[in-house]
Amino acid sequence: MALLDSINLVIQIVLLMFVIVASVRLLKRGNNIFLTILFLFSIVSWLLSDLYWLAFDVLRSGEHMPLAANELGECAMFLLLSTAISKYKDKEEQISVFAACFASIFTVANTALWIIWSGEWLQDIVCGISLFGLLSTFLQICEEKKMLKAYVKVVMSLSAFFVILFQALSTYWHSIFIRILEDISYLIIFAAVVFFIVLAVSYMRRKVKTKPFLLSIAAFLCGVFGIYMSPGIVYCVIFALTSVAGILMFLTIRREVLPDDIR
Amino acid sequence: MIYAENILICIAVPLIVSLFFLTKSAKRFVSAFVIGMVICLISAYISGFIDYTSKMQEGEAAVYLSPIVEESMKIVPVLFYLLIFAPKNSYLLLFSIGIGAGFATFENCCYILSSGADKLPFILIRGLAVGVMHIVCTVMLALAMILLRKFKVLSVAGVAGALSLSMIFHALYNLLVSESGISSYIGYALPLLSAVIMLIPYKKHLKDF
Repeated sequence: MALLDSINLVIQIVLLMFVIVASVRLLKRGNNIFLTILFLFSIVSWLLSDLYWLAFDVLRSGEHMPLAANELGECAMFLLLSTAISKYKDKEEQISVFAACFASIFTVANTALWIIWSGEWLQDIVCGISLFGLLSTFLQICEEKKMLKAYVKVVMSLSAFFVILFQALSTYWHSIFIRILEDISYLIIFAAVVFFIVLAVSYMRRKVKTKPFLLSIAAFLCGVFGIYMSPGIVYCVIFALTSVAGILMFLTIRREVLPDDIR
Repeated sequence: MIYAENILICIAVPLIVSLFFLTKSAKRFVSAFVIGMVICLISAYISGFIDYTSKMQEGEAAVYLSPIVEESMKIVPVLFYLLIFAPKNSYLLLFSIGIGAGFATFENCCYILSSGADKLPFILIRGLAVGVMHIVCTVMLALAMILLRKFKVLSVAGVAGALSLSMIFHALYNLLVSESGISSYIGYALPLLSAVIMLIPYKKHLKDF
């Protein structure tokens, strides 16, 4: 499993390098320099985080890490991405109650689980705050763009509730039934990532703007939450899907910033 | 044991005196340089305190703790200068480079005094790697701030993102050089390589600053 993890990580590093080079080229051709440059910064953070993890794996494998610096890179990525998409926000629009509630409850619940699992208070809280920043900004934009219909909100809330519930149950009780519930929670996350990726691709094919980009961020966010809570082979699968979401983010940004006549 | 405070006074006094004879840009740079050295000393105090209270193993603080403390400390004067004085982009860059250079110089001085300066190749590596790394980190911070201000998104999230980016860069360098062998060579090359990569667009768009 460790070998599979490492292979996954190396593949992600190579893919991120390609995305960085392509983003630099996009800077010269695209219109929205702000979005591209902040996206570039966030991908560089992601790459540094992966490189740190790889270096740690090679140099100090199995050692205790008192402060996970690679998580700082991930925090940088979430915060820079959140700043990048904040330009889509309408400053005069009121803060959506659903976005604020969902983002805060879901992130606090996740952070509580991370602390229970790892025992690292400080870094889990810092990571939780940065993920909250990205999630709340993202949901606020979705609300403003009228992407979140009532039934979508219900499905999202129920899925999030059951994922957290099943994960919490599996933390304290160990039986076959609980194990099945835990697997269902992974299945929900997996389905969410795949669903958002497929939807983003279908919108991209229809040459719709902004929606595919936001959907690719949704896939990425689901993947990140999934990575943080899954072990073993499930981790590997969701990790690979998150890499795909990263590539998709770049492709949708490309569509977003390139002038129409070039496309 | 070295007396870091005494070394600081010894280096800073001539620089402070020179401030009375300098004007504009030079004055800003030298002020930032002195502030960078003071920040380095305070960072060492904080790292030492956390290292002592958290009972980390030998060498762990340098690898895991110091990047976070040092980068957090370096951003304080840059952020203060940006928010209070609202300087022009070129002045902000100059100030940040001064902070990084001052920090690196004082750190190198203390390191050389404690470990000796008899091996020239080692001193060269130290100067080219650590010295450049601190400057790259502060320039990265300043460029991110300039961009955030230019696009009117100078928010907590943006600043924290830029800070985390410089922290992970610093942490990666410290991790790579903590072990001998190929990894340390990659670590030593990392700041220089990053400086070159950053210099290309920087020189090209220098007029924008």
